[in-house]
Amino acid sequence: MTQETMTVESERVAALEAKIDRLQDQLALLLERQHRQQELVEELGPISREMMGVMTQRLADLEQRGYFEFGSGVLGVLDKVVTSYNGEELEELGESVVGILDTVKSLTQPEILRMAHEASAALREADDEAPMGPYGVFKAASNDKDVRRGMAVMVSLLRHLGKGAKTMSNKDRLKAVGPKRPPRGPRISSGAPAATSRPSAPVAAPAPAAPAAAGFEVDGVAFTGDGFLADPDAWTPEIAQSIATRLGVGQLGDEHWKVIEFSRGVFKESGASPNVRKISRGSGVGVRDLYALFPEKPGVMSAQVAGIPKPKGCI
Amino acid sequence: MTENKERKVAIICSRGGLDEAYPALILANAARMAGIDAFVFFTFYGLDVITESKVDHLHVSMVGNPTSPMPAMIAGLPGMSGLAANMMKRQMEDLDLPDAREMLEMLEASGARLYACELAMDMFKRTEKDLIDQVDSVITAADFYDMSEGAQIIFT
Repeated sequence: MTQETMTVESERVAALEAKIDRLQDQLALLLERQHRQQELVEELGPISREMMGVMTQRLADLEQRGYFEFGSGVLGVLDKVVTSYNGEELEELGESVVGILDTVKSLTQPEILRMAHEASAALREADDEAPMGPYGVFKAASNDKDVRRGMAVMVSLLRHLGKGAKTMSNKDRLKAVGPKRPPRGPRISSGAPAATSRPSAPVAAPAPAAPAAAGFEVDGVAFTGDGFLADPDAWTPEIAQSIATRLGVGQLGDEHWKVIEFSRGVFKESGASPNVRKISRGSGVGVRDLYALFPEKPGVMSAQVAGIPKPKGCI
Repeated sequence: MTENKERKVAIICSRGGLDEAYPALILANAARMAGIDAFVFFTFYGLDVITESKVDHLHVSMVGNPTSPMPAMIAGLPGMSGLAANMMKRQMEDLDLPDAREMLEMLEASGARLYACELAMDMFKRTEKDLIDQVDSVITAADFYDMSEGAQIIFT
């Protein structure tokens, strides 16, 4: 019985000894760690001092290399940029700063960043992609959903870019030209007295001769700026002859009157002046004769003499 | 009116399609109507425009024409250029536009001069007899430059 107890006791002792052994190991570890911490604290002092030294050295280096000068130079430039804006533009800038910040914010959203990351990864792998012919492009465009979605994105991006470019160029044009440009009046014949009134707003290019939409009067008869009778109903054969003389057509003969009567008839009927082709067909006076009767400008001159508006169209 | 006295235009018509001939003809006619001296030089396929047997049958090609409403695949089918030409002629009639022959007659009557290119004549094996009556003469490119001295040159 005691023997048995003894063996049990000795077994317990052995177990205890083993436990103590392990404890000792742990204790040693703990001690070592503490020691190291102490060392660390001791070492940290000099290191931080060293670090300060290095940093100061670095800054001095930078200073020497002119980084700070560059920085202050940049500040100067910024200053100039800011002063070159006028009040109105600064106000606009202020408004757009919000927009810029929004853009930056949306650019830094994780989704966008991931997209950018993927795009750059694709660029890195681009070397491994096999060259693609037109058929390959077509296939990718018709089969690959991602490619198609990408294309849609590109197109919408392009659309916005285009819109932006358009508004920018419009803005520039408005600035260059000034607020509003008056429409340029039709040119008036040099035989007519020049109008004296000039448009008050600035015009980019000086108009040749007399830029006048304003009409003029000859012997109490009113004409439009480009030399047509202002009121077709005010026409009389006498006025026709005076216009013809002024334009260098000369004495009106039978052929002239044929043309004049035909043209006035067409105008009364349709409200539009006939062109050369119509006159030559309807009046019995050929194109060649028309050019002889109303030298140089048969369509325009015959209408002027007939007291009807300028014929429209190219024929 | 006097300001245009010295003004001159030289128009080169190098294409023979219906749609390609009209710009030259209309520009020349408009120049005359504005009192501007005008002459037209017909060269290469433009020669068809003043060729008696071709002037009434000028075609419109929709192939390779990016502004045509006709899909390229269909535009190449036989008969399509004739169809397009007829459609265009009808539209011109609606607008009361004269046909090519009448335009040329009007041009001659208005005092514009029409010239054919000698090299093109040789190339297409044509003689003066093949050309319409309105043509003034057959000239070379060098003659063209002599004649167009002081003129504004328009290439169509």
